[in-house]
Amino acid sequence: MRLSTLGLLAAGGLLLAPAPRALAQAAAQPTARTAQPLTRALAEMRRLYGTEFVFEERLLAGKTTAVQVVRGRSVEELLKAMLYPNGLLFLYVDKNHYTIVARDARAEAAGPGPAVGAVPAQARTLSGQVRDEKGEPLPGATVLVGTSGRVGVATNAQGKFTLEVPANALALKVSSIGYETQDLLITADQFYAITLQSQSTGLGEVQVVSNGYSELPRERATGAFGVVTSEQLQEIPVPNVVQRLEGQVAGVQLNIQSSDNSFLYRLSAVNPRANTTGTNDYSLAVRGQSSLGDAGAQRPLVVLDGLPTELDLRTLNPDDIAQITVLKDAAAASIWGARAANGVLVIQTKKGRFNRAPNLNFSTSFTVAGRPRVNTLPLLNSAQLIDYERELVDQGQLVDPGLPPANPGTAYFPRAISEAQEWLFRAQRGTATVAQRDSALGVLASRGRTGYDQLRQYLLQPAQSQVYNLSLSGGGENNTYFLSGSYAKERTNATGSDGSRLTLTANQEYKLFHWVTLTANAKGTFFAQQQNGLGLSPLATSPSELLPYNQLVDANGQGVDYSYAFYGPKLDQLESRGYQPWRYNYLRQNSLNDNTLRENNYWGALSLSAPLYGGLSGSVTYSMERTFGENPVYYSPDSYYARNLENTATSLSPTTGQLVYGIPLGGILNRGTSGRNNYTLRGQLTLDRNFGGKHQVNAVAGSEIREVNTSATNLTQYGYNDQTQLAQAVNSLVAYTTVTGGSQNIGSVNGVVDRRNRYLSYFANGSYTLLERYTASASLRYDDYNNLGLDSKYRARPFYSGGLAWTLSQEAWLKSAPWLSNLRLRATYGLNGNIPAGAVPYTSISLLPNNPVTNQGYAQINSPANNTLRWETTAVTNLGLDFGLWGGRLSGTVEAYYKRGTDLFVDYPANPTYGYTILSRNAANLNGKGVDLTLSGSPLRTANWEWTLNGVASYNTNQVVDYQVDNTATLLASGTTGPINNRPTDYLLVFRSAGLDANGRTQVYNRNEGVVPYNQPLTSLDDLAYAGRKTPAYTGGLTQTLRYKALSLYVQTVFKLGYVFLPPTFGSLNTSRGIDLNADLDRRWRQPGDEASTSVPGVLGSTGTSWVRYSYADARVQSGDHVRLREVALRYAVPSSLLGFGTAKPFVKSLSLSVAARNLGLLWRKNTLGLDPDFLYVPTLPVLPPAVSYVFSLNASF
Amino acid sequence: MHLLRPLALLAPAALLLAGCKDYVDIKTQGTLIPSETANYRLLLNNTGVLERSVSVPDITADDVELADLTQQRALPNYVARAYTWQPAFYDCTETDLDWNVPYAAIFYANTVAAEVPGSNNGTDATKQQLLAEALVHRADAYLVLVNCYAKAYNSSTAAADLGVPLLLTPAVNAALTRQSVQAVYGQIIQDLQAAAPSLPTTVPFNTQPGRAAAYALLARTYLLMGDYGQARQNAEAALALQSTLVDLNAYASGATYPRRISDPEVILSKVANTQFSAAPIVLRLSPSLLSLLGTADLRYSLFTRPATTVATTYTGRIFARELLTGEPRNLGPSVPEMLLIKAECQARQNDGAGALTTLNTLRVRRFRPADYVPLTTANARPPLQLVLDERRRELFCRGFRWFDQKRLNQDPAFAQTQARTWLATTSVVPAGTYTLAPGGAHYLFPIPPIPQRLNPEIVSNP
Repeated sequence: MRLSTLGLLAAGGLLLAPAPRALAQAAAQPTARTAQPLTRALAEMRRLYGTEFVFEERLLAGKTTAVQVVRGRSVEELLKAMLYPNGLLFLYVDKNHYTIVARDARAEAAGPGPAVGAVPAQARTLSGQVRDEKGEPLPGATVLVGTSGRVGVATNAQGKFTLEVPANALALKVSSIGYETQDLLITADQFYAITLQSQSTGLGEVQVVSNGYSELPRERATGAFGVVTSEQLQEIPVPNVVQRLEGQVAGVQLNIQSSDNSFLYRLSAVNPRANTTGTNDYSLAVRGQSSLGDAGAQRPLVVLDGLPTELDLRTLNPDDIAQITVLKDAAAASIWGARAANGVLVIQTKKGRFNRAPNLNFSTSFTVAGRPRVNTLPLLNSAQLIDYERELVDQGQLVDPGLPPANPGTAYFPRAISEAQEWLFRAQRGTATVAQRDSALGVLASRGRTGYDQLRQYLLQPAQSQVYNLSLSGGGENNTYFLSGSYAKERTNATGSDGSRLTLTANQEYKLFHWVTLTANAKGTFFAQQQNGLGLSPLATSPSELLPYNQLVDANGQGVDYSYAFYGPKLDQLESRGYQPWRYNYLRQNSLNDNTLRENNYWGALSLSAPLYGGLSGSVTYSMERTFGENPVYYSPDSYYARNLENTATSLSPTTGQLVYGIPLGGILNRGTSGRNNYTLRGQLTLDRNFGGKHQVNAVAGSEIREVNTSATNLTQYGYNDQTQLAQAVNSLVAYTTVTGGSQNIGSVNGVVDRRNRYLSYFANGSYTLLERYTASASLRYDDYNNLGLDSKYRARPFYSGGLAWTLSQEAWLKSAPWLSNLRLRATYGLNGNIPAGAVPYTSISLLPNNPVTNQGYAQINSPANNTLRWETTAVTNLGLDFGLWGGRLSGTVEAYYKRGTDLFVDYPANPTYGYTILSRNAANLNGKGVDLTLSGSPLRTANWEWTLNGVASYNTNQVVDYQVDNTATLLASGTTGPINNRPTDYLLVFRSAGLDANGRTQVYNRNEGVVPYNQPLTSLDDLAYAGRKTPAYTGGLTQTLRYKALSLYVQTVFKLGYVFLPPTFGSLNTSRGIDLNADLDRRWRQPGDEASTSVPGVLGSTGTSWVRYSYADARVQSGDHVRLREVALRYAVPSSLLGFGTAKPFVKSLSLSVAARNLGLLWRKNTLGLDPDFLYVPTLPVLPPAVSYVFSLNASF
Repeated sequence: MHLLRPLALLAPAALLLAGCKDYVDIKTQGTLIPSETANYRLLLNNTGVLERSVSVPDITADDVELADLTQQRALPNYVARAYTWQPAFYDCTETDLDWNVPYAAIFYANTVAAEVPGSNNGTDATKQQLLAEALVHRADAYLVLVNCYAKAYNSSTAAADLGVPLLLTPAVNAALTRQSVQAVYGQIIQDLQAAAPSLPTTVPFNTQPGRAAAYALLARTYLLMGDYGQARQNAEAALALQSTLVDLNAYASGATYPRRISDPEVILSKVANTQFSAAPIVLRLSPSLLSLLGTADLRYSLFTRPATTVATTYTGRIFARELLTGEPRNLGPSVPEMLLIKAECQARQNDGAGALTTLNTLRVRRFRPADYVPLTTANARPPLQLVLDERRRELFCRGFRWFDQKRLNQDPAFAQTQARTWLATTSVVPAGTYTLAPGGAHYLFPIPPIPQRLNPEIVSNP
């Protein structure tokens, strides 16, 4: 027996009815021109009156009514007119719920009222409450008497029912659409608490997609939509949505570069020039690269509750998210026009539902990560480093700072050197014997990896995070609400860097005057972050880098001071003359600086919508978004930064012998603020109408204006005292004498940046479905943007798309196939756009203060006039196939797409004869293609056991074409360059290594297999070898859930295949910058003959072309392919019997506990070096592979 | 209630209409569209682009001799190659600033020249002046370019000799065919003559071209062309507007020598793009220059220093004017240069006595009174030779000598073969002796590799 809730949702997103669990298949055919199927009439009633009906499908099959559903008549009146002629009756459950039954099955009870069946002489009254497995009341569930009964009731809004049953009745049958039907025996009890288990449907079978402007049943959508549900998001217990998106949608390439941090980014502050927030922590692309600009220009557009937002994903509380729809092709995304080329993420937050009892949900999780894995870093140990330094000294690559100055009279400021170099030079100078030197070096060498170990001990810590989340949702007759608050606290792996996030959300909806809907959504996100940890930064190549034999703490537990500004004895001399102490101490850095970041984000939207006529409704939406960021950095007077800056600006007066201070002594306060102030105003008409049961039309049209303001200020105060809060005035233009006798001025102490951009758009999007089988869709958008020049011909541009879909499984000739539950074909084509940031058609100049020669104001040309400036466009063709087999046991989607990007903006080397070495122009085309595959299924499903799988895989590649610039020479010299014709954007071309010459310098083969020495140029791209692509061609993931009763095991693996990388190695020899610590140095060429066994050049070969050719050699290329075990989680949903569901009013409706382990490492890797290709150690921004973290969570609803 | 419905329909409809184009017709702050005349003043104030000139001619000229092995070993490749007059100075990816810097200035000048006449809110006189300034900067840039990369001007072959690409509009996609030396010189003279009347006779800063600058550059151009009549006339016109000389006696005892912006001798400031004042790139002076200079000359004591000042292992003396002021050496036209041009023209026009009088005007401010001896016609050397000697003494290591060598080598009376010894074995230049014959192909700087690769129509030098 099948029952069905008629929960038709009008596709217009403005009729904010609760999202249905499923959509009824209205299969009935109309019998007369004026009549419509009864199911459709009931759907209309639901839409207009918000009523819900429960009925057996077969009862209504084939029945029609001529009654027109219009406002102004009472529900009962309409129902009588529709149902009575059809031999049907309706039972009143409460104001919004009716059960429809056949007349003949019903006793002679009169009129609506508490439902009763055929009441025999001896009857008893039972009551009860029906809930789902989460403890939420189930309204509209049917409770029938007997296992094949015809008499029953539907539950009310609280899931409650009252039913009179014959005394001889043995059982109740409880059912609800989407849930397993349950039979239960009638006992002596009066009250029955009943929990229904939801029917498992494949995870991929999401029914409603949203493009941000409207919601559409998936079977009427032609475009490529990817959906992540809140259930999927819930499985990843990380307090940032970014991590939760990994491996969920085919075609979304997410690269997580954060190791042990989630929402505390390493680059957080708002940058008014480009969106850089989080660029060090993650990159997100939809279907590969569509633009050749910087990372900010390649980000997908984020749409939050229907409105474009500039907020980063970390500002969202992941538990507030109901669904994320990824718009991948033109049909899906082109409604976003000029900003859609990179794909769109449409995020919908949770809402309450009408007529629902309040539901309080509390969840908390605690995450603890393992110790940071410093020992995995490929760095030299003490003995290896000393050996290298010895060679540098022997080769004369390093200058002895201890030698007397060449001109005794002149100022001499030798640079600082390491402890080992000091001993090597002492022996050279004769101030130490060779024996003394060797014994001292022996002591240093014996320290092994002390520096790294101490860095781990004193500067790093296991990361931790805690999250608390509380939400309340529900609704009355005329309003719904969803309120939530969450607090997350995170401690990164750098001691001294931690922070918190508070999010508040209030989503409300009101029905006014029975026909106007007012939606009011507000969110606030507040960050407070301390960024004082040195973390791994001492291992970055710099003059203050930490060497393996350096100690943070000596044997007595005291912090060790190091000279970094100048040679130690020079610092002694300066300090004795009154300079401030000038030594660096790693341990004291944390406590002496105060670098805090506070960011407040506010988001609010008001929307008023009203039905107008015959399925047409109108709405007006206003939203605002504010971000205030504040980043005060206080360097206390004792901090190295302040002492170093002030000492550098201090000179000794030649006349008085007194110290002259160029920068006032004391603390330094640098105060940066940043802000965004954006608004959007949109008017929209929505049509959602079915004509005659055959023709379904969904359309939106409207216009939108949007303004985005970004600002930043920066102020530096010198001589600042944080107690008195007073600073000393400085004249930033007056020159002072530096310690070395040079002349310098403080320079700008404040700066203001303010940018305002405006957008104007008109949009229309519609779909037409015939007979539930054939769908055509089209969209058109016209965008105008203030920055593309003066004339609208440069900036205004239409974007369009069209699509077709055919649901084969609805065809009569396929309907009979019982194993095929769904089969659809889709095809779309359309244009998306992208706005080249900062490009203008006229000569763009910027103003600068104070020309250094004349002190006049002056101007510079940012970019020459470009009267051919055009928007970047990407044409996308998408072909899709959706299928469902065996009632959804296995379902999936295969999509193939082809993208053609034209007029892409690219920086290219210009002929300097034109006055520019780099120009940006619409100069490249980019072809892209790929395949997205989504599969979900549940191979095993029994009452106790269930195994579900959800797999996504995607392939993407691209090729630059019609690119007019020849980058050959740059590439041949540096190993890297911009685009190259007929290569993907992420190509890796490498030199063909021919080993080392007899002097330890790199040789390569040219295209004729001739050996080219290091000082000879290569001439053609054919001299290089194509190593592959630097980003994965194949990405995806597999999530599996194995459930046994209340216990479920979740396993997530993700993979990246089809790409290569060059493992980090040491940099080109540059002794003034600090010494490289990469372990490759230990395999270097040392003496003739070594070239037989190593390809790492010697000291002399570690510069210039020889180094470049070693660094970009084919021999070093490694495959990046790997499979990562991202998460294993065990969840226990405490059974309702243990929670007291048997009682009338259980306090806890549901409770689940889980423990998850994340970042468990790589299951398989192809590279032979044991490297994790996602977390390569780059000396400029050192990063560690993430440590395994353990998450303990509790989730309860009341 | 139902009356409200039309209102609800109106709201979005009204919005559809209201979103008009004016909404997006705003400018984003921070970047300006330079349509205001005043903005071109600001562009011309950009000394970082417009004041910079070339630097390698000071390496190739015979004022220097980088004889120390330690220095040779440490020199960058391009200096080593330029010093030995190699057929290429730069590797395929290296930037030739001597090409890029003048062309960057030319782009700015062309932008101003193309856009200032149509700009808003400026008087015609202001626009004329800004245009004239741009033309002077452009002429100066082309003059150094054509002298670096092309043959010296020779009236009989100039129409056929390859000059440099001649860009006169701010285009970034024009063909870069090398125009003839004659065409480049013709453009320089045309620009300067057009500019002179619109320029003010006094300027607030010597980085900004005044009328004297236009005349001075014309004098320099005509001298390089061998048109001594025009050269003299323009030198005198420049001197009529600006003739103050610095008396070096004022600085002999340690007073701070004026920075270029307050140096009264500078007519238009143009500085070398690279300072050659720190080891290893220091201009170690050649014996021929030092012997010519003598030790009594204040220019010796002020503008040269022992090489050990910068590196203990270096020998001899180095050019020290950059150390004196901390600024790059000035290559722009100056009062002494005008006097020297006038004197040379006088000597060549057989007014030997007049030439020496002109020289003495300068020399009296270059010696302590006790050391000063006026030049007379009784001198053993002919007046023209005295003028050329004085030209070396006054203008050494400031971009003049290389162009003078090219110019004078055309005259058999002054033609010399230069030779240099390269000792360092570790560098890109093989050890050995390199010679440069008069009229040799290596008097032309090689066309830099990057521009040539990007636009192969730029023909190489032999």
